[in-house]
Amino acid sequence: MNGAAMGTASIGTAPVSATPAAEHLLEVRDLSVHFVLRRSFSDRLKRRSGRIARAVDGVSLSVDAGELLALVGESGSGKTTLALAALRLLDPTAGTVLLQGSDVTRLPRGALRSLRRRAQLIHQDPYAALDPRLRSREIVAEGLRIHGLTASKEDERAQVYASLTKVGLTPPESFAERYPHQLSGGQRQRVAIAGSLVLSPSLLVADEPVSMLDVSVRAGVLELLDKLRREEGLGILMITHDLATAAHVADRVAVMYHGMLVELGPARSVIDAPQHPYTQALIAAVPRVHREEARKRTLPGEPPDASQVPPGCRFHPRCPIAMERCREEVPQLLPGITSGEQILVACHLRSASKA
Amino acid sequence: MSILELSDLHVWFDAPDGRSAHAVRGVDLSVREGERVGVLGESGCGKTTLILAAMGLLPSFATVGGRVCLDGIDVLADGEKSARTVRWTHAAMVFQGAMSALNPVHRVGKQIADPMVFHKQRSRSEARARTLELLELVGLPASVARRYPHELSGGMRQRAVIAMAVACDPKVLFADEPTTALDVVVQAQIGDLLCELAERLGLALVLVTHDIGMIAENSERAVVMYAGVVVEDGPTYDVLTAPRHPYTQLLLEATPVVNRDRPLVSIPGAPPRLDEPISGCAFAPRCPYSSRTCGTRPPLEGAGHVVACHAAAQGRLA
Repeated sequence: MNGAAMGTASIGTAPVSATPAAEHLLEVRDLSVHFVLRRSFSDRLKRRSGRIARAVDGVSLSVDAGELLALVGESGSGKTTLALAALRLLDPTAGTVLLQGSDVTRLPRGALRSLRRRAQLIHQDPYAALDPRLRSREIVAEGLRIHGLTASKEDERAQVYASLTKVGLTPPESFAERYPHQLSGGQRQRVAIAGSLVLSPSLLVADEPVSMLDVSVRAGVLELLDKLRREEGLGILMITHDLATAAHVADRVAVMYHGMLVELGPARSVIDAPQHPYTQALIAAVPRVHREEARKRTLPGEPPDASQVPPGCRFHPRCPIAMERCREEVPQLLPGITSGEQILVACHLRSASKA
Repeated sequence: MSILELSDLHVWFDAPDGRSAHAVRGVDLSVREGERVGVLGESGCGKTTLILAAMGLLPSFATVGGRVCLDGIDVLADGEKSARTVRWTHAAMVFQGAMSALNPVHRVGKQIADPMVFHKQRSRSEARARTLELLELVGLPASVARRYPHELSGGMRQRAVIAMAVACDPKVLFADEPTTALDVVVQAQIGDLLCELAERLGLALVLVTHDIGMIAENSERAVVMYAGVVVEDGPTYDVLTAPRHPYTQLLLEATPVVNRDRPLVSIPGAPPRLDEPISGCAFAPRCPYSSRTCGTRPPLEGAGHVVACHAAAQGRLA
């Protein structure tokens, strides 16, 4: 009950977009994903209904063609849930997701296959995402076969080779016959990306695409993603907990905390002049090599539990500048006082109040 | 005074097909009392193997050569027996996944108290009293003692594991990627805690990680490993701001930095296979400065900040 009330509170306001364009490649409007938790024994005794975990609560954002949006947050902040709901791998509780203008949330189950071709997911762990019994060419060809996109054996091979070449596994002949265990971590992630690209999707959702890889090969995979959006015009939604990675490749950064967006703006501006106290703490916690830079300040407390949502601003129990109003009223995502329209921030102190 | 001394340490892992991988290929390392050393390297460079060997924790299919001297005790001398005397009371270890380091069916308090009962011959009630002190030391409420691991968050679990590790007053604390499974903010908290404990308890801290930031914030000395050998060793600030080995230089360029606008580079190629003999410098095939001299293995040279590179020794580096 409580969950529904919270949901409508944020749905009541018009979604604000940082770059108002005619049609976005992906547009998420007031998306909420709530999970009903299993009732505990004491819940049953007291005849209470199951608790609700509000993993994502009223989030609006958009990704344009050729754009890389980094969705940043701690584990449990709801960033992966948001991505899965955007791909309809999870059914959202409320809100809409538009992919190239068509509403994904209302698609009947049977129509999902065409969506799957247009929007592809890259998983975090290429060691687990690839079937160890299949050769690279079979892994890449699998999607083609499922979607019936091959005219002949030769055509399939040509498409697979083209895709392997596109991800930098050249010459493709030397990688096509290899099994995942014969590839390095970076090569595996490239095979996974080739398997997505072969379907010519328009949107790529990459869930922590480099966090399992060694530092020396991360840059290569990030460069590849960057190249794909520039040359192929792919829109990329990259989920990451690493602000430094986001700073290097993203056009815009969206920061999530406890199921809500707290800050959204151009990557450089958000990193250089973060508005929300949570973003500031997150940036301060990133370890630095150069000691002359400010020493980290650690944020007290633990990442929040999605089933226990505090009233008011969800960050207020850990916030160094929380005031009375923050305990009562949920802040809306609005232009920052000092940043102007460029950065949207959900904070009573840092965002311009609604005129 | 060095509390930990590794001399010419080698580790081979024997595969069932008769081949063997030479994971650690001759490492000399000495750690002073109370020193905080960060061992930096990518997966497969032998950094974890190194500290497992120092604790006598390697599996039976590993062959160890060289000497490990921990707090005056020769760890490898008498097989499992000498290793047992060292563990917990002289050296303890914090593992990567706090979830799997704790037993899910026992309360946290019992798990912290157990090593004191078995290794320090404390009575149950003494151990219980000490457990509460330890929990306070690592910043956990006393109520955590009665909880099960699944009731704690990742950061709290890692704190409990650290409390357990320092329970028997070790002189050396090994930490193997202690923060990789945690969130950025919690990572910083755990790093702070490890440094604080090292200072308060006079512990030597050997922090093994692939995360340059962790090393930068939490160690005073940085040791860089590549393909089973130490390639660079010196004061952390010097190693990270003025790296002398080409591998360290490239690794730093490959690392994203939050407030610096420069292109990222990846290091071409891949580390060598360890099941085939490596002659000369292992990094030479990927190194922009390699020359004919790199066919022989470079020694660690220099004063204070040492580096194993012919090109650096000849002053050929940029």
